[in-house]
Amino acid sequence: MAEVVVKDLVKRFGTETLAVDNVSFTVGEGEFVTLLGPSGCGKTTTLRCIAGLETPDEGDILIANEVFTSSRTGVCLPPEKRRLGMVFQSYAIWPHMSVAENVAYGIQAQGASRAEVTEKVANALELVGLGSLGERNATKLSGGQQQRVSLARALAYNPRVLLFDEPLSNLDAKLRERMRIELANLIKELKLTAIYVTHDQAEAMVMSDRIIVMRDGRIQQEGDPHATYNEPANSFVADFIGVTNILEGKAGEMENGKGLWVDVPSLQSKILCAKGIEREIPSGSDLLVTVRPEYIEFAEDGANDNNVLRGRVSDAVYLGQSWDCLVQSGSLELRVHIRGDAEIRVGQPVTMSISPSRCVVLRD
Amino acid sequence: MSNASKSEMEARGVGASAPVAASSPAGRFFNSENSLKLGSLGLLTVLAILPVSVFLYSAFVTHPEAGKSIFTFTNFTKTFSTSEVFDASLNTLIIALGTSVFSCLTGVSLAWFHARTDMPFRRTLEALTLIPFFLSSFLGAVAWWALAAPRTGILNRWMIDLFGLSTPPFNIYSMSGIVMVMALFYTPYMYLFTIGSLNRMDPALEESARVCGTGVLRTALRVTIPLSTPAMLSGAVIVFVVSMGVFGVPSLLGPIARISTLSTIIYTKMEEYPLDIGGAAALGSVLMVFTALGLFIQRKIIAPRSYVTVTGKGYRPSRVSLGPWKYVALAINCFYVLLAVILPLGALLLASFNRAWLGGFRWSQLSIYNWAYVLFEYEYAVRATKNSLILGLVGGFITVVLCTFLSMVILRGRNKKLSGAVDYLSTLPIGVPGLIMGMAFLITWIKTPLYALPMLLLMMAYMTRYLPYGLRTISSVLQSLSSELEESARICGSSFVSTIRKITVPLLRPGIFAAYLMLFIMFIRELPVSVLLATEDSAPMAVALYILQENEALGVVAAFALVQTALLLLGTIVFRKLGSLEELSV
Repeated sequence: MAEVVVKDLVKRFGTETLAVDNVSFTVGEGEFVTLLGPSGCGKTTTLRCIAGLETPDEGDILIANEVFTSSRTGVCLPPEKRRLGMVFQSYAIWPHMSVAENVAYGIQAQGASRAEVTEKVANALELVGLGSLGERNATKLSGGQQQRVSLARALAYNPRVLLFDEPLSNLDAKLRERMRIELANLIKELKLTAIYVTHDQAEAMVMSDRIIVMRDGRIQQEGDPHATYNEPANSFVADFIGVTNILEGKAGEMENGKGLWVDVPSLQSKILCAKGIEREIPSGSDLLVTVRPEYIEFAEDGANDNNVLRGRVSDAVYLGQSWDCLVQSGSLELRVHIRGDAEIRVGQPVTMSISPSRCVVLRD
Repeated sequence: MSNASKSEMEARGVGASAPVAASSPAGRFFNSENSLKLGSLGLLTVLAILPVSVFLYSAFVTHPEAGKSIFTFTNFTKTFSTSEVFDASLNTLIIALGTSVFSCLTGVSLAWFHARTDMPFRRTLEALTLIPFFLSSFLGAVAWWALAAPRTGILNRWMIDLFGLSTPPFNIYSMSGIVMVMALFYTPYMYLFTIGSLNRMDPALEESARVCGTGVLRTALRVTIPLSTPAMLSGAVIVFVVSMGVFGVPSLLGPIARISTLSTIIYTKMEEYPLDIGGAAALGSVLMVFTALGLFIQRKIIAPRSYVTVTGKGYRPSRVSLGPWKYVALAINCFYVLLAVILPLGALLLASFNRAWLGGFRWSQLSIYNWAYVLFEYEYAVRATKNSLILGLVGGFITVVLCTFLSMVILRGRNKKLSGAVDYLSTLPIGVPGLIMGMAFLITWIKTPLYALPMLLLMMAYMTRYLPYGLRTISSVLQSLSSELEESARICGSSFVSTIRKITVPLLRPGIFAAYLMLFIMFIRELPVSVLLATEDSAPMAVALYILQENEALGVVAAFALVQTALLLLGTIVFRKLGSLEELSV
């Protein structure tokens, strides 16, 4: 079981900055987990602690039940004893070695025979699609190719876990999108366990089995991409992943089996929320509700139990596949995404229909 | 939400129940990294702190009788109450001030010509302008002594013959002579200090001034020069403190005009009877305090204020068109090259090929006697050449290894506090003038077995004194290497030591060669550290040159000075070939 366990990890820089603040999570064998967050959220530091490039101040890190780091016993294995693979943001291709030499380095460090090295290098280069470029000078390659060399180097010696530190952020947009899928497929095919660090939410959505959203050194939410997008835990996660509307309200009464009524004064209306209400919410308490723009529909009349709001289109931008509209309702402007085949005019009065299952009560 | 909190709980639960492998709570502080850092601190303490402390201590004690020491301020009061020391202090200040002002004027103008204007023949003149940097001010003094000594100087003889003058027009044995030679040979320092900031400056800064309606000269004076003021001031302060401690030039050109400086007095107190170690140490400690103060001002006050004039955008450096004035600029540059390169080297060359020198070259006297003499026959000179080569090659090598090691200790690893301490200690020798470093080593080690190995002692002193320079060269390359290059090797499974051997050192190669070359040059021409520390047998070339000019004919001195120059030139060529250094950044 190549299972990664990170437990109560704390890392301080100097006496003031708390880079990682009590972070715990596990990564199952063959799982692709992404640490997502803005810069300075502690995701890279967490990854570097796992790699052994930083010594955490507190906490334990275990891989396949072997203790890598433990603040209680003072164990901290050096990086070379951990048998991990890592792909860096800068690729970290050694400019004084050829492509094949770069890839061979890790295999040689394991003390493999010459024939074994040649074979493994060839395999690794084949895997990343660079089979013919072994003798090239690594620095003469394009950014995308260097990225592949870096990946081949990390794969070549069968590491227990692959670590990725924003590996795609130096590529141009088109190539980045292609590499996301290619990389994720390769990891799945090889049944590798991977921990991936990025600030790009689209990348996290496309590639991961599970996303861990971090901010200021703490975990904000942990879940699969679908849950993270549709049931964000707090306003930070809701806002960081995708576009959203956040409404301020007061808790009303609970309607059995249907949801919680929330009074939103700025909309001069009550809306029924069906998500985020598993916890105890005292009646009358202040809370936040989030609604994604694409879950708001324009309708003649609210269907079944849907929330119905009336308003007027105050601005509309046509994007081809959709309309990006602002709708004035009460004293609020709601962001609404409507399919591109609709006809929208600024100033048009509209009725909006929102399913209660798309209205999520946030935890902050 | 519930999902998140559940899996979080799971994580905690799993973690807590996972078996924890038993291991020894090894003393975390004494890991290999910290031991290396503590070792470096120890080494630097022995190399730098110990001698300087002994030196400072000796400034505050007197020995009224053998075996007895008293703590006292007498050394200071007695020494500083003499008018001789007062005059010397004044001379030292005048020389330092004159040198920094004049070398700043020429160095900055030449840098501006080369970096920002359309002056013709820039590339050729750039190389020629830097030649004095590879020679030394002491060599310059020897050459100018041949050129402008009142009776025997070549220039004086020419002027007298040409214009029928009754008295020689130039006198190098004067305050203005000393300042001129110093300024000529410190101009390249100022040049190097400013050219970087001028080269990197975004031309849009100047172009916008031009668009606003200011002319070429006004733009240079109001925009370009002010923007490089911090770099210029840094250079001027450093030239000031370095020239306060310079020994060679004033000791050669000063005595006849009875001009003494703090450094020449220290030398006299250490070399001539009655020895006055306490007095010399008192003078030296004052000189050291001023040097340290100057460097403190440069580092803490001036350097942090430099402007960020470099933008991330790629730009094409555009040049200011000087119009007909570009020939004036060309003339100024050529005049500098004439005074600092062509005349000195030319004079030495002419003098070296005449056996007897009477102030002018005579074909009838053409002879290679001087060359043969210093290269093969004159044992003292031959030995000095050998000593310098050993010091330059072996000493330079050991120093460059130490610098590489220290720069890794400082820039890599996790314990930033220890790194800072190592960095601090290894920069300290910059504040100790060479003559004082030599004196400190002498009084520290004279009564130990180490004094029986004078070459080793010299090597240690050189290493200590010039460590900061080599360190800076290598560190700047190491800083530009992403640490991810090393980290990825560690993760691939290679240890700390094998990562250094296979990744770091090969990548540092250009920096290591540049540092080795620089140290080789400094060691071959080194005078101030050696002049007190070297023995008759261990005298390096500069010391031999100093002794030769007192005892030998000019032709011999000139030939020997040129042998030294040739070694420096040869070394530069060989090192550049080996290190394939495209551009040497000093």
